[in-house]
Amino acid sequence: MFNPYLTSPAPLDSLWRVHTDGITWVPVIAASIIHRGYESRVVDAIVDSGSQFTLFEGTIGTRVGIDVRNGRSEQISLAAAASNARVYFHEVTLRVQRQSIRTVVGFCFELSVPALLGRHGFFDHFKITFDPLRRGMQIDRAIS
Amino acid sequence: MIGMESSNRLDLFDGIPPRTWVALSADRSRVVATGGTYGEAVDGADSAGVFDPILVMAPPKDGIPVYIP
Repeated sequence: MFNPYLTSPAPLDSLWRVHTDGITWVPVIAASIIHRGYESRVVDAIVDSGSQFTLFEGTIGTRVGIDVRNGRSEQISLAAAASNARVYFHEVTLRVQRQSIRTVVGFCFELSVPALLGRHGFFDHFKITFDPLRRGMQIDRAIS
Repeated sequence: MIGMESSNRLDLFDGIPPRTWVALSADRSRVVATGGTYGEAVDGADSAGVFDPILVMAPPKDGIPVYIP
């Protein structure tokens, strides 16, 4: 399924404006999680192959009834957080573009974006093609 | 093909502290509710009668944001 990038005027200097046509973009898709039948509302989730894990901001997990801090936890380094942060891993159902997968995501209360769809938990379930001409992503379920 | 409207959405977040949870209308044109947690923003959206919001987080004020909701 094709998913257009989230675009906006580039908040950049004149040099970058020339090289970006004045438009910046983010590979964002609407994602939600389901836990024991309770589904979150959709949040902006950044498709981020640079993130080792799939992460959601912690209060999302709390809201759907997960005892977040009771999960297996690790201290990890995050580009999208101020410093190292503790992440609590739980198995949930992840829903993107009307497709649901059972996977493990990390919940982090220090995350500065709603969610990151990373290599484990997302990229190992989907084939993603970034298309600069159409300014969007083709996302298909990887079927083995 | 350009996906979404390229209006300056950063203006939507004027006066909203960074990392605040924000419920946007489904077309992203307006702020429906805000909260210190995801749940507070959802509750605010429910109270406003908006049951299909997009939940985002307000971007930082200093520097170029990683993403512009």
